[in-house]
Amino acid sequence: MQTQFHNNALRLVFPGDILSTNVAELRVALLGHLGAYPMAGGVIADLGLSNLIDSQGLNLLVALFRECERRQVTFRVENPVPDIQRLFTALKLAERFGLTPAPTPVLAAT
Amino acid sequence: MDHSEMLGRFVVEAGDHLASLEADLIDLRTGGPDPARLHRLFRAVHSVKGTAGFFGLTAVIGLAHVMESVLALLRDGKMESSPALVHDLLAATDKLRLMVADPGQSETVSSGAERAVLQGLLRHEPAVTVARPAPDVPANLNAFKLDAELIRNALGQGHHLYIVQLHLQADIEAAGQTPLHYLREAAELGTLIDTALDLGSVGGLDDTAPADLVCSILFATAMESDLVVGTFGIPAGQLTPVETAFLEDWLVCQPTLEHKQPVLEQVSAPDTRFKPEEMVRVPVSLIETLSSLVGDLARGRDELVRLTDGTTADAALGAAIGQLDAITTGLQTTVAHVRCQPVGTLFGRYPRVVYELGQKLGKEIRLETVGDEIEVTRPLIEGLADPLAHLIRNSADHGLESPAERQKQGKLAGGTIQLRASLDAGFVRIEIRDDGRGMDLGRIAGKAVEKGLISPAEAAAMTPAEIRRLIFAPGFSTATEITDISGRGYGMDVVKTNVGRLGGEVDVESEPGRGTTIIIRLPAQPPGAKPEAPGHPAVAA
Repeated sequence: MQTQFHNNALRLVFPGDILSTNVAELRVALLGHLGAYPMAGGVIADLGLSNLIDSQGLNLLVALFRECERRQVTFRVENPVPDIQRLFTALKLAERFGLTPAPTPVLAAT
Repeated sequence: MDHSEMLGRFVVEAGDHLASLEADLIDLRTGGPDPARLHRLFRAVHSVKGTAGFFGLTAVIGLAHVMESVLALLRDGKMESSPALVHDLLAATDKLRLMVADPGQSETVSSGAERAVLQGLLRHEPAVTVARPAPDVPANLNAFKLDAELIRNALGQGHHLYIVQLHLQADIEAAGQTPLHYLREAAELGTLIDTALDLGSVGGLDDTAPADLVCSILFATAMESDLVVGTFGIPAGQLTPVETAFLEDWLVCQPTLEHKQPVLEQVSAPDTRFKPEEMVRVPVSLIETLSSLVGDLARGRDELVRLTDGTTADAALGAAIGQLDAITTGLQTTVAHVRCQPVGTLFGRYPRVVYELGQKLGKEIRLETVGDEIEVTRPLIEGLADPLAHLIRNSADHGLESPAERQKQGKLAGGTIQLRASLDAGFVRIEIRDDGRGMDLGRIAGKAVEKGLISPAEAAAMTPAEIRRLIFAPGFSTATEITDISGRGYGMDVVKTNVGRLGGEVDVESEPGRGTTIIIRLPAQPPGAKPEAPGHPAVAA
């Protein structure tokens, strides 16, 4: 997982899909990066490389959000693909994740 | 459950709803605007319409919708019931029944006339403005944003609202799906009005055994709850129906609402007559096969006991035989119960018959039933169907007087026919009572002599009971006019014959001016039936 620290914010670039097969590994990595930047005032989850999130992946992102709440740092998601944005909107996570509402119907049939 | 299975289920369930609808409509005519009945009426049509919407049966939806609109006005006290209205609703019910019996051909059933009549009634109803305080939102809905337009549209389509609890891992991941895919599939089956994610159940990243996220969905769909549970693949406990009554009240209080048509539908008061979720439908043939197999098993057990002479020195074999005996007896008892139906399922066939008879004969006739819960075997139910229909026709036609005649005698203008079931020492007793004119013994004896069934001397020697029983003689009839209702003179003989085929007897009691009672006494088991296990209610001594 790549990281950038800029303007007091830690950007965490997820390397791909967030699935049950890699959440444990990602969880460890996230904890490590958050520990490495205790001074960060905000965390940005960059999902530009993630096309798919399953149930455990979603749980991981919620855990990251909750972790930031606990640490009293801001959290936001950036660059989600449209489907992931739709999922966040459908589950009312978009606002919590600092995303603007989806321009298209939330769950339009594909 | 595939589409054809679901459609088959719809046919059966819609048939039940329409049977309930018909019975309640007839009761509405005689029993007045009982709120519970009006709710049931509305609910029956609402359910048929809702599920028809799921299958895209537009003809069913169209007719049901206009019926529903009329019933909503009745329910809300904005329209008064009348015999003509009941007649119109029954006519529409008949068309609905034709449609749902063969959904594939439902579009070919002509219902324009019935719809036009009911729509004509709606046109005369003024819009009513209702102002009342907003009801309290139930706690389980607090997590959702209630979108009035979405809810109004959903209810307008006859949809039900549910709160569906989904465990992201246990329900979605276990089904091999992603949350987005799962929600998309759900969205194709109804409307996702809102969701709520329980974030509080999830700790931070250092939680190595994170809780399963629970997502609650406020979901509107035409599907009944069991179908939703099956479609979502969730335990029944994770589905909570939302009280439509609340939603209706809530919508009325939304500032932008102004309907000319009754868009909202209300769920009726709980109907405690049965709990669908506790019941399962199986083909009768399957039950008969099961019964037959149990009978074979019992014979095998008996043979085994005979071969071992009831005793054996082998303790293990003796124990095994004892266990086999206990299990077989238990199976017999259970199957005997499964093969039985409440006699109310038979009695329930006649309200419409009585209603039609009253219309044709110009008589007010009320049908009462007693002992609906008495259980009898299916062959008895089927075997009694025609005899009872004939006896009811006879009572209506010959037994009950015209309203004017009754009033002249100081009776109520409307007559009563009562169907009564009871158990009597291993026999089922069915009575068909009317409060009509009673039998004219002199006329019966005279007619029998005239027809050459008995001689004048025999008639003179007969007791009243013997004279009454002459009505069961072949070819006997006292009707002066043959009608299409009951009279060609061979009906009571056929009744006696058919009851005899079931191993039963028929008798008659009567009192002039007070009415007549036909009594059918049947063994709980018809001839040739395999014996039921002891202890069953229908065979209890």
